[in-house]
Amino acid sequence: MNNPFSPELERDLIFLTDKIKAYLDQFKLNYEINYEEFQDIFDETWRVVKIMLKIKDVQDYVERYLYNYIRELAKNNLDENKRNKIVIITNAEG
Amino acid sequence: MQKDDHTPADFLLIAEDVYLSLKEGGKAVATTPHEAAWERLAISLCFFAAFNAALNELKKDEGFVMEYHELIKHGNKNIFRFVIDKALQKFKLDDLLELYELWLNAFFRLPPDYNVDLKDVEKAVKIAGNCLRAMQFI
Repeated sequence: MNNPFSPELERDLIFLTDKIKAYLDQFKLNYEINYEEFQDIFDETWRVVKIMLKIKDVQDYVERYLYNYIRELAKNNLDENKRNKIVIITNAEG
Repeated sequence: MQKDDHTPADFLLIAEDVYLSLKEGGKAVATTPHEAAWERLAISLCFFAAFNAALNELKKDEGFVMEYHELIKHGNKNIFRFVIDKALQKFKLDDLLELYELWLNAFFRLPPDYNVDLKDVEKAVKIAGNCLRAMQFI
């Protein structure tokens, strides 16, 4: 992935991804993690890395439950100034 | 004249009405044939429901209110970025960014660059519902 952010933020991204994987693996879930970049059309300096998490064979409410936990993980592991640089977007397929 | 006492949830309710009308056929969309225009409108309503909810929550913080009014007074900053950034920092409301992207596509990328469809509306309604629920507006 071509990451336009600082090495520090890249470390946070890897750290957070590992935490998400460790959490999901305990439920033996079938999932896919990809990265995308958001860039605003009005302000090109506004760029955000999106962790795109696709969870397969689960209902919407399960995806929501997992997302809420993952969101807490991100809140607890990223300091306030970095929370607007990395976002997590989940999708259920099932 | 009626008092303007709507809440962010009212925007979402209208968007849900449009979505259901498009999906199942109904009065709202039967009056005009422009399905894509309804879809773009519904996505905008979803975004503004979530955006207003986040703004209302952020305005409970005096520091935010001062900063917000300063920015409006000078008119030189992207207010969407300011509010969404703060919502991400304070509430980790990640879905709001996704909804902002859907709104950008719905409102600023017209055919042939972007063709909106019912799946976008479905996604927007779901995200807005989740955002409002997270902030206890519904």
